Amino acid sequence: MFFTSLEMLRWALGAFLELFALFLALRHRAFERLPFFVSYLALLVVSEAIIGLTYGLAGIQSHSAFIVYWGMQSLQLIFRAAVVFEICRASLAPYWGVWRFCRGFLIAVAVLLVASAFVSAWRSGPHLSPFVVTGERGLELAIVGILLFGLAFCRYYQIRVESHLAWIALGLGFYSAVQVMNNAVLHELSAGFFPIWSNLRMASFQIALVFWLVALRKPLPERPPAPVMLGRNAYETLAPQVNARLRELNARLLEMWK
Amino acid sequence: MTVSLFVFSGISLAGILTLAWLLFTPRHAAGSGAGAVANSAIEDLLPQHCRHFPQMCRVLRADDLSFVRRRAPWRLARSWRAERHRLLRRYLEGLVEDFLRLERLARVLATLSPRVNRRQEWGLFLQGIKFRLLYRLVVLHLLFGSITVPELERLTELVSGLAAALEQEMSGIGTSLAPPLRADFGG
Repeated sequence: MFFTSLEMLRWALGAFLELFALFLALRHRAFERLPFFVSYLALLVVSEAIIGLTYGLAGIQSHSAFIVYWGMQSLQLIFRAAVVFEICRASLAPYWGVWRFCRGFLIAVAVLLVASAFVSAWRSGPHLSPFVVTGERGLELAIVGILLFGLAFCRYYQIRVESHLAWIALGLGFYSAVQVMNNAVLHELSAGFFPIWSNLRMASFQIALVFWLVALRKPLPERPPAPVMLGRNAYETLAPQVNARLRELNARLLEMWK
Repeated sequence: MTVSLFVFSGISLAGILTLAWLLFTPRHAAGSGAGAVANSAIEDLLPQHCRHFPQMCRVLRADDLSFVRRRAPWRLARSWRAERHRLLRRYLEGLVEDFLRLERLARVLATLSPRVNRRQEWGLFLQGIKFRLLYRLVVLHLLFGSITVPELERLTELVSGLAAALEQEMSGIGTSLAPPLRADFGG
């Protein structure tokens, strides 16, 4: 089995986009503020080379090709999770109190979703392919979940997410969300759906690359100044009062409704 | 098996839409929590509508209603009652706005605090959800009936009481803050 001309063209387009994104990231010194993201882009380029070499030497349908491809995908998934953490930290960490509060919650959500992914994969049966597809689906779902919760905290506390981080987050979330659906369909329809699965996977990743190119098109903006924190007493004095009053308000509203 | 397919597809689509909404739809405050406080005066975060409660009391006086019913034509009484209803609804919306200002203030305090209490934050979050639900139910109640002055008075007192307490505390805090966060509480 060989790639068609169209498949080769699409593969070349993907490789070009990855190289260009890495070039822009290095040129704009993005590694100083986003080391995990830039490392991920570098891994993409290296993965393409390794996978291409394996296909050429061992063949597309070989066992080695399967192991190398999914090994690289696993590594990329770990790096994507690290980038999600990097985005959450870059946005929330300047606000120490909120970051401490959110971090524990995000870690708990991550552990829950990853454990759920492994359980789903284990229950998918003894064969390797369903195990891998189901496991990846669960882990991509974990990435989407953590990203959404992290951004929800930013929205709730009215913390602005910088434009370049927003585009990177959109690319990560979009790709992971599409893989969740894509792998779910493949799990149901199996071999017949494989060509569509493959095309959808490639297309969604290239769309994510375009989002990352938008993020990297200009040099990263200056890091905003760290917010000036209030004294510890301010929150400890005022927050309980606010909560108590809001509870009373809700109790009165409940009486009015009844 | 088909159920899980629909579930995952739904999750996937909802995830993408929610992500786009979280990232790119405008929010109330331009900038960060610190920016919201530094750029707008502290007074903008404190309730304002609850100050108009005395005027609302005059609007809601029961003897006015009975006088109009006795003396004015039926159509005029009905239109007067509808206008009263409308004003009441507007005031209630104003109280909601005051609540949201207080909630926003509480969030800004948490954002700028070096340490937050988990229980307080969860409490605030749950109270906010409860308030939004109850307010809508009360508006429904208003559509089919009315709200008495004592009930409205209790609501107003809660909002204005908290505002007064916060204003007092924050005037003490304001003198010790760095210049970007200092607010002029006026006299």
